[in-house]
Amino acid sequence: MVEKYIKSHYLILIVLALAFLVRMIDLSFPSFTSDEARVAFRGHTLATIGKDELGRPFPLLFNSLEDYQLPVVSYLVAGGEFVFGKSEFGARVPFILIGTLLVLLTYQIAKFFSPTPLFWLTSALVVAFSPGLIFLSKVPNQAIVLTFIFALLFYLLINKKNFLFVALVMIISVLTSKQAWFILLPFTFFTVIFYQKSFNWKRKLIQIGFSALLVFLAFSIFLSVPQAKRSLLENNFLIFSDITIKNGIDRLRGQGLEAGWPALVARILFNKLHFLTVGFFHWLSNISPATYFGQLDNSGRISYFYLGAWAKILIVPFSLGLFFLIRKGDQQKKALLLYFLVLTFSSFFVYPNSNLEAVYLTLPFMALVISFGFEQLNKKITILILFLMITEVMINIFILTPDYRNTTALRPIWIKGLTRDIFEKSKVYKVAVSDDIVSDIVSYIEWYTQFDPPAGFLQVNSPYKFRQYRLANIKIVGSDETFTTCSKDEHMETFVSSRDLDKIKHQFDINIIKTYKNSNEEDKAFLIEKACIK
Amino acid sequence: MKKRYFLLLVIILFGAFLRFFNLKDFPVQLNHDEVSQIYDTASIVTTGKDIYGKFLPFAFFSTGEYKVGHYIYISTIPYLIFGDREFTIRIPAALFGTLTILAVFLFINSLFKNWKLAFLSAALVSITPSEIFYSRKSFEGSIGVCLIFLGLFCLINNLDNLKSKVWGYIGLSFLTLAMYVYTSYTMIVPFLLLLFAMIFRGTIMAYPKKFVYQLLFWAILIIPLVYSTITNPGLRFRAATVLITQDVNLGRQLELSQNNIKTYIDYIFARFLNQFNPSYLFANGLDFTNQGLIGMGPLLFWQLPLLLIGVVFIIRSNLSSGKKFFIFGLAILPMIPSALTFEPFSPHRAMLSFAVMSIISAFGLYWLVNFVANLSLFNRAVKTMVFSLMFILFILNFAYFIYMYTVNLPYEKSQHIHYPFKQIAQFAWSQYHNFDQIIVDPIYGQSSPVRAVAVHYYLAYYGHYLPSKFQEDLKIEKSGMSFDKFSIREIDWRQDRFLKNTLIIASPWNVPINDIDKSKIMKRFNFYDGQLAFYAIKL
Repeated sequence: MVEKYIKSHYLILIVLALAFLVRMIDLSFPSFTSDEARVAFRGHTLATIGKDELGRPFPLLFNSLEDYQLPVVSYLVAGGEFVFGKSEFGARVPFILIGTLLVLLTYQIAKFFSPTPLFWLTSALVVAFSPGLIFLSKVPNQAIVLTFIFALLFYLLINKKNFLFVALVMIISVLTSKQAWFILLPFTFFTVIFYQKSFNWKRKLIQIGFSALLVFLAFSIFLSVPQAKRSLLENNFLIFSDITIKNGIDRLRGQGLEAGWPALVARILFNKLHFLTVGFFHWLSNISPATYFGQLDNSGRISYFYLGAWAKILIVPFSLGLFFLIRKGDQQKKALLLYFLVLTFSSFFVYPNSNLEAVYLTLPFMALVISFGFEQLNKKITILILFLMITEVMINIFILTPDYRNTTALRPIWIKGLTRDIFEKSKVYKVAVSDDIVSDIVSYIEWYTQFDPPAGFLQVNSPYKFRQYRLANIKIVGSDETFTTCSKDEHMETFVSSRDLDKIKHQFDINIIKTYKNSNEEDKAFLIEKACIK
Repeated sequence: MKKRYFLLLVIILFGAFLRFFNLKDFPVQLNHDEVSQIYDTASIVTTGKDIYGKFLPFAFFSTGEYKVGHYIYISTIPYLIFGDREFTIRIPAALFGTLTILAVFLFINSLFKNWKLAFLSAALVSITPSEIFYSRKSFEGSIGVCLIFLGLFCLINNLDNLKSKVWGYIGLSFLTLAMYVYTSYTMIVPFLLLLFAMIFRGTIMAYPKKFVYQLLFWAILIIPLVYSTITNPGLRFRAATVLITQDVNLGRQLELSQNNIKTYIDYIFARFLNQFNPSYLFANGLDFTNQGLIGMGPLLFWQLPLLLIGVVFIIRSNLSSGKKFFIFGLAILPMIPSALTFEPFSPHRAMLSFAVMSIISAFGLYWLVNFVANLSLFNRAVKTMVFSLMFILFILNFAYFIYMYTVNLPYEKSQHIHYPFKQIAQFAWSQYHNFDQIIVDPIYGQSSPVRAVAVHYYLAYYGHYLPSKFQEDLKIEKSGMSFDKFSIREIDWRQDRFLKNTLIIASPWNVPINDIDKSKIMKRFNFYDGQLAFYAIKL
């Protein structure tokens, strides 16, 4: 009876509806980081006037505080805001839809690996209730898009779909994130080798060759951009610019020499091969069990504070699935395990930074392993585990205060009131704002207020690690600025952090007109009068 | 048969060599635990009391953390045999560390009935870095590991020889001893017994009377332990100080949380899983260096592929699923204490787990050797090359461990081994007759100031101070400790600079070098890496 319903797709429709609803609960959570706010505002400007936040018409490369950004995410947001206007819903809905479609995609992929409808359904259900995927389905980000794209590519490749579709998805992937440039070729190669056994070699070579060509073009074109090398070195090949490895090798080798060990021995034992071991272990650390089932990211940047990528209880079916695949799985099922390595190997190069976004790429594949585990259990235990999974996830989704408090600096929801006050004051007066109230307050002002986009346009082409310090009447004040008392014909509204407040207090008397508290009830910003910038 | 025993003997002798060779010099100095243990051992042997005058205590107050005393009592035997030497205190751990090799052989051979597998397991345990490292310092965990393997060996034999009444009681005695010896095993052994009972429940249920008696026997054995754990304030204090509740990161998460129980569960679960982080296991878990991932793990890097192959081999093998779960359970369960304590990683609490992982890597080696040997397309020369390559890689990795252990560890972790307190103690005694009082400041550190807790032990031990006299002379005051001419307290240079005929030994943290008349500096004491640690100032 149940299988009949599954086969007629009723249950998957329910799962999809649940996935969508879970992602819609408390839509304002997680509040945006400054980069996400920038992308959200960019989506608005692209959707309304066809320019990005700096005034460039339909660019393919955007700026941020950390690195260049590729276009797909920004244009997805633009699409959402084109339809739903400048709103939280408009900025988030493309990702909610992608997150929900990922559930359907996993369901479809699962059909390739098992004829059992329950297997398809559990695969979909665990993806629907993955805390990590729920979190990332609610904010503009590359990771959820890339996860969807690689799952889609996998689906197209294993189901031998038309090459044009495959090529299109590959192109979108390289326009989504630099991470794709590292993964696309090995991913395609691997999938073609293991899952396209009935294809002729010509077709296989075309697919692999096309992915190689795309990667080559992506790197080549990107390298023609100013500071592209620096961008790659600082964000994607960090291990080679990290001085601690070289220093560590020299230090440990030197200690041996000082202790009287032969120089040759010290050189054999401590040399540049350590870059390989360090990168290797860093890579493996990113995909350790604690990441998946413990705490994925306790900073709250890409995940709920207390949760891993999956609910804890899923470690049971995952372990059983692993046992099953190793013991009884055929070659194609076993090959699933290697995707953990193929999809995350770029972590090797980003030492010492974490590369948790790469973990997300593996989740649809991991869902299949978990479902193989469920197949080893009887239905009562399966239902019990699924119940516990949903319970844990729902508890975390409804109790968000710890997350708000944990991310009060990174995802400052309290900033909304402050930005609105800044904006209102700036309509009449000049306004000064300390730059350390939050990271890059400009993005928040642009996103959370009715700020007129052209007023913030700058004449810059491809700025790398760009931070805006002036926005119409608003000046962002750094630590090197000096404050004075305003003269009679001067009027400036000044919003300062504790840093600048202390500085000003030492110089002259001031009145604090209003205090702004963060989510931990700490005083973070102060509106003061009589203080002007020198 | 003789060949087997000969090979086993060779392995045990090799393991003994790795554990006993140059035991006096490596680790380069007695650390604070060791010096307190050797002096308390001397105190027990000569007076029957610890240095604070407590008669045969169950838990030693020692340096303030209430050490469970069994290592000290065990050490009285080598103390009586070898006398008052530094390495005496390391002998029990080294001896039991060596016996662990035999215990592993016996356990694996009895569980899997495969002597080659047992031999390889013993061989890999003999060269496992964590086993060697902890066997060369006076660490009771090494004794516990040996006792647990012996206990499990007996319990397996108990199942195999159902008519025998002895094996079960001996095995439970060994396991209970392990519980007494080291607190982590107090927690782990009941879990192991539960796992054992669940997996072999078929046999156990067939002879309920026999196993109920054994269970009762075990319950009687642990009554004193349970009683003392509940009633001894020292043990309760020690447990409270090392529990995860002391973790600052957990404290921060609790502050943010609305639900403490949920926070504890989330945090402990994540901490537990993190114990299986490959970087910790193979790159830097033993904390030999301050160079991030360039360090030494409890297992050799060389064992990583073998461990993975071993896991696959065990899963795919025809072994009973019970035995498979048992061996994996043995690797996983001993990580629990490590997850429940305040440090992110406590490798000393997870020794048993590392030993079992070494055993699993031996399964991998066993499979690999058979696989290569049976490959028909490989000629003999190629096979020889493959084995030679494996051997060379092992030698390189093992040399790397030896280098790290003998060279880098003392350089990088000088402060952690309380270097140079031995030199300070010896110098202080050399100046004994030249001053009215000698003050040693316990505050020192390479990157930040920390308080050394065993200065009185160093001074007493290296001054050959009679324990009976020390028990009488030691005064514990609010400002610090004192005995004879020695005071161990923080220096307040603004006042202490005016003392007369006094030797002050202090670190730059409390006595800035610019404030000192250079002619008054009698001697400088450096950390192992040459960084200034203390100066001796005559007043």
